[in-house]
Amino acid sequence: MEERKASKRCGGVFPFIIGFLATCVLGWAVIPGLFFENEEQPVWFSHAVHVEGQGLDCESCHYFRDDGTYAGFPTNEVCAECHAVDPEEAMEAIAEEGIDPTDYDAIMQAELGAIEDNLASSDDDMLQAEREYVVKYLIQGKEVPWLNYQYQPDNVYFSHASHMALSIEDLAGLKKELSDVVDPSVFEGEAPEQNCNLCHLKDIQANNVPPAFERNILSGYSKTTMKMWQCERCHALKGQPNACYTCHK
Amino acid sequence: MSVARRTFIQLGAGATVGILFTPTVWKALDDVSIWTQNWPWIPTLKYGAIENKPTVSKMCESGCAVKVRTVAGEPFGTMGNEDNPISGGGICPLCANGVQVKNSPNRIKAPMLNGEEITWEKAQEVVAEKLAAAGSKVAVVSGDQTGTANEVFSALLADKGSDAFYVMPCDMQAADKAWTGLMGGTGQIGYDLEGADLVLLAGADALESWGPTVANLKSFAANESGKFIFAGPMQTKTASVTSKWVPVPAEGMAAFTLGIAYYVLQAGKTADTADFGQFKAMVMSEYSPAKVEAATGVKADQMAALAKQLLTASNPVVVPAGPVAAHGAAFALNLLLGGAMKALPEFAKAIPSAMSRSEMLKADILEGVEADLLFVYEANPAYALPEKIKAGFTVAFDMVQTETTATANLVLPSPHPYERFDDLASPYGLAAATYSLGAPVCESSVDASNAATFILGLADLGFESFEEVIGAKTEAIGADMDALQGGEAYVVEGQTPMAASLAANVLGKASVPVKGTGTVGLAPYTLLNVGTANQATTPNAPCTISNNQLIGDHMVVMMGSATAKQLGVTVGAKVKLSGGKGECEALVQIFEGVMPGVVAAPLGLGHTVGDEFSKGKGDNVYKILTVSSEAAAGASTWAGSTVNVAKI
Amino acid sequence: MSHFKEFKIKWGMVIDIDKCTGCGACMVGCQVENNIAPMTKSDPYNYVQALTKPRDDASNKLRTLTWMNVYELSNGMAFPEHETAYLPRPCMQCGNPACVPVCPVVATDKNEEGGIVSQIYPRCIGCRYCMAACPYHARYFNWWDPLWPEGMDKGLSPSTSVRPRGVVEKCNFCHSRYLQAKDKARMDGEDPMNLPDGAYTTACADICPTKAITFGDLNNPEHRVHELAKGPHAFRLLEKLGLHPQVYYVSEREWVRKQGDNYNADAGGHH
Repeated sequence: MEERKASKRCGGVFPFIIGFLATCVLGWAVIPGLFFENEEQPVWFSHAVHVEGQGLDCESCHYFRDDGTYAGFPTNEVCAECHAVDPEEAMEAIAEEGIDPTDYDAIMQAELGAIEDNLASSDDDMLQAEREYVVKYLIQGKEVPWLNYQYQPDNVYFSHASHMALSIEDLAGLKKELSDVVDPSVFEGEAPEQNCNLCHLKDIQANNVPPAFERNILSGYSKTTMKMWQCERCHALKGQPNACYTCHK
Repeated sequence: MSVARRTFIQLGAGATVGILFTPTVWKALDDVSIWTQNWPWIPTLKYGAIENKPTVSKMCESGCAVKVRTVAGEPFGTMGNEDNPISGGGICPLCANGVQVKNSPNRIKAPMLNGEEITWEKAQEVVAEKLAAAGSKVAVVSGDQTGTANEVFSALLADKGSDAFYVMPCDMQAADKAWTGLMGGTGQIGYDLEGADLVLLAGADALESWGPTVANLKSFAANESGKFIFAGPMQTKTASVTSKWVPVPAEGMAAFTLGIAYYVLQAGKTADTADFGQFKAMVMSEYSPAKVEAATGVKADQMAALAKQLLTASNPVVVPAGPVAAHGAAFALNLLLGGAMKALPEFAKAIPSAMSRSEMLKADILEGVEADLLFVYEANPAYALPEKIKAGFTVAFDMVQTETTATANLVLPSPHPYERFDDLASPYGLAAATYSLGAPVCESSVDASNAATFILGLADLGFESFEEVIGAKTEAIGADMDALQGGEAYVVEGQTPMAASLAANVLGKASVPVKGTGTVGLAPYTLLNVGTANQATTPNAPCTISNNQLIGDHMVVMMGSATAKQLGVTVGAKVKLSGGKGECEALVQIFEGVMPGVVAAPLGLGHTVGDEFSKGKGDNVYKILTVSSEAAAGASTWAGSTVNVAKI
Repeated sequence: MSHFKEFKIKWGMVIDIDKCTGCGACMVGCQVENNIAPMTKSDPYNYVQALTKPRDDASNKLRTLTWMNVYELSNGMAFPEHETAYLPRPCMQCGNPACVPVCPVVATDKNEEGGIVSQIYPRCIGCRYCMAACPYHARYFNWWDPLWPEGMDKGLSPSTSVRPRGVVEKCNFCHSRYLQAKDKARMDGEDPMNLPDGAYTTACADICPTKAITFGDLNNPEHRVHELAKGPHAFRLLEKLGLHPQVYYVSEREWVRKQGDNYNADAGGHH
């Protein structure tokens, strides 16, 4: 009798339920977001400017090589076909001005002809982004360390060639089963010819400001890194092998 | 309701249970498990386009044609070059580790004058000054047997009125002395190992470290019906795949070869030289089977059997190694047999004032070198020829730190073969004159400069850079630069060798076996994975070095059980070998593939300067080799080295 | 109960011992292809070196990672009848592997078309039960973290991930090259499951100067290994254990063949 009175005094089961519900809400809505920190791409690259603006098609920068590997991020060699700043000329100009070649701000402020004359952008923001790319990376001979939204660790071997033949239209039939594997919005609207949207940011070719790279603070991987079970599910649905060495190295 | 302690506990309990119904804990565990797989000190890989770029490698003395595998422009491995006859698709353990040697912290990072870093401009000044002061007392020691860089160095010497060009002791030199020196022949001797139906390797460890090893191995494998026989004091790795091992002491190789010639002459074979009669008389009287058996221990019926095989073969060849006399005897035998020995024409020079190959091979480094100014190009005489080299001022060009660079006055870093223009012309042993070249695969990671280009800045030889010299060489030869840069070789067929004389008198005297005074004979052998005279073992190679060469930090010497009994030692006994001017410590291993009365010791160990993989491992057998003079032949040789063995 | 697994494709090797000189190029090439760090004794990052054991260097053969290992054979006779031979030993990729059923976490399995026994490093807990099970000593344990000398790890092969300490590893027939060969076939419009002879070779077979190692699909009559493995002088190591190794050896020398199976006169070994 006293116990019931005592428990009634502290509210009964109520606090338990409050605690439970509170953490449920927090644990589903708030905490998962805390696992990630946002990182910006090293240089502002706008697909819209290049695809719509310059009329480049996907294969100009993203293509299959002859040996079957996929060239994902284009190298400086590819970018320099249009952003034709001669690194040697630029470095000479920098040396002439007596600027420290690693002092990027000073180089950009100096507005050297070797660089400025070869920039192709139209408005100021774009010009600044292009300038940053040229000064920090192109003339330094350094590749841009792009952040890969679909980052996979070294022990994973992903083959673009083996996924070449997938079509979004055909996969739409498995929409329900693939709802956890790919973004369901991929199947909405008219199915594009290429299947990049299945795993990569939808309609990236029209994107002007790339979304922030969300890095998991514990594992270091991207939020959109496809996990093993997702690959396995689709493999199983499509009758493809799920042997370990299919994907690991 | 009042808020009591129990409330909080209930709240806490609810929260704890609640969190388990959310992804939080499970995701955190999953992410932490991934975190444990990705320690920051484990290197991550770089990805990009994979290209295999052809070039030449000078890691061994002959040089080879390889393809460097690169990813996103960064070299990571080496593979063979199928399109090039020097490689045929395979490579040796040295080149297999070429990229790792290139990236080694043991690289010389910048020019060093007496231990202090200086600029290339200052280095040029210093050398120019020394050069002017030295007058004609300039010498060059080159470790590169086949490159046109030698033309640049010899042209510099010619410009200063010096002819002191030295190569490290090698069979190419002994062969040339015998062929062009004693026998008046022309061209460079080559051996058609692929086309021969019987190959007698008279001391030549052709399938391990003699000559263009990879090309030899390829020829051996391609020669499906041919029979290979190895003669020598120990069963080297070559002997593990030949049909037979004939035990012959190193100093008796010439006599053994002439002993076989006895039977071949007896069968009626002749050679078209003026002194053939004299030669035949000499062999029949002084190198009869009984006499050879007495001098070398090789049984007469062994030699008779070998002679019979050589006579019945349609395209036989004898491949010599060691002293000049052994080479002369083998060439004479090959001329009698008329088989697969070839004479290769020499390629035209790029620099007119440069020495010809024969001229470069004339000076005998074992007699010692003395100069006011000495250039050492990618060779390690301080290690392999201790105390032989004396110079007022030494300039050493090398890729990595060695005993020679440690003692040189001026050390100049040369780029790794994959980082520079280089070429190779007819490595000694190939059956056809072959020219290959390579362009840089990547930029040098250190402040290195092509050695030949540096030398071109010291005298007016008509070229500004080594790249130009190579261009001129290619033109002079009549080869296609694009094809060569693409990895192909320019090949000119070998010709039938013709000698003016069989050097009867000299060979007769020089072939008499001469041995040292120690208790046991010393059979030094070279394994590529252990290292050569110029290149120490590479970073990934130590795990390939067996307990027959090295145990822990101790060198191992091999001997037969009979020899061990004679010396009173057993397996694992620590012994001291004294010979020449030095001594070595080693452990004993019993190996029945060594002749009685002989101890086999591996060359290439005992480095005192180098990276952690080669330094302090074993002992340096070059210290205990004895030099005996082949007075009659005008040369010196290491064959016939003996040692005293004492238990420690 | 047999765990013998059959696949349509059976990747295997035929190694000609009469062509192997023991040069070691295959061993070095394997290490370079698979990012095996040279054994460095000193650890510049170990700030408590005084309190800890130094790392092993390559002279401790119990600690080296030699996925491809060359053994020296001897006919055991005295001089002058003594003969030597060299035997390169990769992982046998057994048809009925001893290492697979013992793994407590299924880090190793033989479940891929082609029959290469996989080894997944992040899954391995390092219990080394598989090492105890393998009679060929083909499995190696990372006693130490890989530590390249300064600057040497900038040129790593993209084919194989770098393993931390505590993980077992073994030869996998350069499996990444198989995946790359399949991609190339797809690119060329050919069937990735029917690769021609030579489209996929291992680093060791590629590098060997005498081509003593031949690699290919044992089940495919168009691959050279198919005939070579059926040759009169072909044998496998320890056949009597019933592991169905997929690496065959060839030697015309009988003493070499006899050493393949712990040959005892009446121990019931391979005939």
